[in-house]
Amino acid sequence: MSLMEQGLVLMVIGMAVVFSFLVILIFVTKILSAVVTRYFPEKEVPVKASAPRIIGGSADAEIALAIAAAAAQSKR
Amino acid sequence: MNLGYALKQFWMSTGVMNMEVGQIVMIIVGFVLLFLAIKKGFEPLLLVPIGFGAILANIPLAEIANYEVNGFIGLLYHMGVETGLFPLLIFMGVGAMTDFGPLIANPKTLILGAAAQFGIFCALLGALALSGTSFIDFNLFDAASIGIIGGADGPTAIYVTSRLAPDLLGPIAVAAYSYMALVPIIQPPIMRALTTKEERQIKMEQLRHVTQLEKIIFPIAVLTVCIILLPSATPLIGALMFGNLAKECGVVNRLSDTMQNSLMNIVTIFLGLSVGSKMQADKFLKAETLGILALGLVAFSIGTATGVLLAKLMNKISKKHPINPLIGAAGVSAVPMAARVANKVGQEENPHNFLLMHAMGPNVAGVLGSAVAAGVLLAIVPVIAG
Repeated sequence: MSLMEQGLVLMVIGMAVVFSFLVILIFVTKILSAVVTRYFPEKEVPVKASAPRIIGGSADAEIALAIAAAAAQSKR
Repeated sequence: MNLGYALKQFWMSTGVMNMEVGQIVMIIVGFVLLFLAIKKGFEPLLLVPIGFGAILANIPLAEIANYEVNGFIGLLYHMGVETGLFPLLIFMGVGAMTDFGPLIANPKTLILGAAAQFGIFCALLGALALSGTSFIDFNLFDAASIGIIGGADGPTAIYVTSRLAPDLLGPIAVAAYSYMALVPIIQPPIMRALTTKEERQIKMEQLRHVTQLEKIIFPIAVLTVCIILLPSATPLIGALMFGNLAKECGVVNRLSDTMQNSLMNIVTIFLGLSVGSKMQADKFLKAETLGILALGLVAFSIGTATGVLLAKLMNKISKKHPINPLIGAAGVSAVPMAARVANKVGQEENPHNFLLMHAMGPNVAGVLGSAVAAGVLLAIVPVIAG
């Protein structure tokens, strides 16, 4: 086998192995994710209580709330 | 023994009297590397140690890079690079710093990491073609080591070369690391040439949340596939996945922290100095070095191009989940630089398009892909060469 032929053989085998390896990995990952999300779903992390909502409040009140929140943030 | 004779002897032992032209050239190269690192900010973490190592290795009489007379960089090189130890330790640190989340969320981007490895094999063929000419002579081992530069993964390139063609370690390591540093310059023109304006503007869907359990099982799953199919790649993949498991499992944060920071930094210093020490004038200033630098650039550019082209194809096929072809360029490892470049080129067209996380998927897939390609070369080059 000449040097170039050896190189071509390497190229064909190499790309075939790299592609098949990663394609197999795609399926493994998909199966893994499907099994995990189906049978071991992560417990819902309780969402931190958000700032009190003003129901039916005016726009001014909302702005005041935003200013208060910003002030509290900057004091921290 | 008189004063005049002693002075003459001392004069004969100064650097001025013993400097050869080649050494001066290589010391200047070292200074250029330092300039690029300090002034231009090109991969300073790599280029400062490499540049300084190059200067130290070319000092006449001191023999800093000769391990037989216990030159200190020579010792580092002998113990860590010739044995393939340092690249594996670096891989451990890379594993501990890598978040496979984007890849797990969108596993089909793994295929982009495979496409970008095409450059490796093109450069391999190129090296063999060059060896037909009269003044350069590469055998199959050399060609395979040169090709792996196209993986754009410094540690992988050094590991493979230390196994297949230790004589070429200097130029190959230098080429691999310089092209990693030059990613932001080499890649964008290729990416722009191969995509249309509309394609570069494509927005991708937000990635789903990946649970911790998935992230813990993923490294084990990859290692398992590797054990079954390609044991020759397990030193690289094994070190990578060990680091990643230490990061994701959450119970050995001290170890993961050490791998990411202290260990990584120590090995980077050692590896950088060792690589620099291989830039000795008599070994570096040869026609082969020019050939290797040129082939490395070809490998890297072809890898970028095939990554982008496959991403284009994937975008054409899957209408439901659009894929921005730019992320294909991140398939040549060079984590996280290549992903940042994809993000940057995307934002040139649309400042509100954030491709970084999407590009991290193919980027870490590229690390796996080049490690797999390295495993293939390590496994079959000795067999084919007989």
